[in-house]
Amino acid sequence: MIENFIRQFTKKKIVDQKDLLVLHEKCFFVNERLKKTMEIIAKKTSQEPIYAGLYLGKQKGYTFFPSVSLLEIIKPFVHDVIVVNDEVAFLFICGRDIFSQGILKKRGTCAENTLVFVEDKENNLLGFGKRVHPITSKKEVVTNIFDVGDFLRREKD
Amino acid sequence: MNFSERYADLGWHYKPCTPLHALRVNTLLIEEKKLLEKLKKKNIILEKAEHTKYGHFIQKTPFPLSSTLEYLKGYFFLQDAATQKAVELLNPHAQDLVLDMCSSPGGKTTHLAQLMQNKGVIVALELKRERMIALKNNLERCQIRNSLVYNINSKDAPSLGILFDKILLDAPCSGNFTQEKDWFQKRNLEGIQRNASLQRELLASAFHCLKNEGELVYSTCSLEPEENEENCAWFQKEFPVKMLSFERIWPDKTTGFFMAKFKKTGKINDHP
Repeated sequence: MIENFIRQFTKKKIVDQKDLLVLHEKCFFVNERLKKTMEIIAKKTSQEPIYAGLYLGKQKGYTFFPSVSLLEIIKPFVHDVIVVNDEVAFLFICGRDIFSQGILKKRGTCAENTLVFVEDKENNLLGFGKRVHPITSKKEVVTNIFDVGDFLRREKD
Repeated sequence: MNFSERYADLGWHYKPCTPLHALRVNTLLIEEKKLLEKLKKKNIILEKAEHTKYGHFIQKTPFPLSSTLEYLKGYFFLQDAATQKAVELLNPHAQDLVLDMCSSPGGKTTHLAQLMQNKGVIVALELKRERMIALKNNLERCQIRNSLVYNINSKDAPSLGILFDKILLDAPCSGNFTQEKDWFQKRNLEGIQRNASLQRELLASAFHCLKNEGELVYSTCSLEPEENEENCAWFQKEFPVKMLSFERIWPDKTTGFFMAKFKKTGKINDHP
């Protein structure tokens, strides 16, 4: 599932299956030393961790919800990026879609119906969305699929 | 019960105070200088918190810092400056195997990971499931890679079957008057003694899962001697440990805090 998600952005192999751990639908990157420690604890207590290593995202049904950490790992290999101004950056991390007025530039083709990364003018990753209407359109150009503000909204739940 | 008289006996004269909020720069994700520049541009005024490596007091901010992009991206952790010192006192290294006994909401766990450069292993225990949400969120936000979180009572830590290089026991405690409205009215000696007793159980557990020559930092945000100096004296009497240092911080710009560092010097059978 995680591989399918990554493949939407890059063909590069980013994660190795042997380093992945799935706990209650949540996917983690776990190194050898963590694995060994987990094994010792499991032997003694029969308990598995609630959280382990680097959190990469959550599988829910057929959908994979990435973490910011995973997006940061993918970021150097992503070609299609929309760069937005400060005002739109703020609205985007509040969960809003992007209209043409706030777009400063695009990198890559950013073709219609493809997934694009969204960054602010300082190249901070803000999230990703789907390119829906042309940049010249008055309708939304990128619909928000995931943004870093998700963390704050989740914390309030 | 007259708390201010107790504090006077310990050399401090009670005065009402409101500690300054503080943050810790997460240097795993950003250089300190870069973050300070970014926050300055947003008219957030900080003051370096003395005696901390990465702490800054928040003097003025036009909006809640938790709504900034920098917070969401894990560039800093909102954390009292005094409490930051406990992790610095433990001073974990990159290859250490560290136990964080009462880990939620994760301020100290993420700080341990920061000092360990996201290497080594932290086993973080938390008893209360509802407190684990904040812990998991903070580990995710700060992009921590070296932690294993278990829903296990710290009293049962010896059952993990691991001897740790270093242990942080930031124990559940009575807190202090800067953290809760009407604190003085809500607390009594009985409650303080109950907490002190729980803390002793946790100290005993910590001893049993510490390597020989391993180090332990015990901390509380309580001002009460039963939970601090008296527990440290008991620990040294009952177990072969040596106290390397201790510090009591009275409330002022920071909250009140107590921390002590111990080294395990032998097995329990060696102890007279």
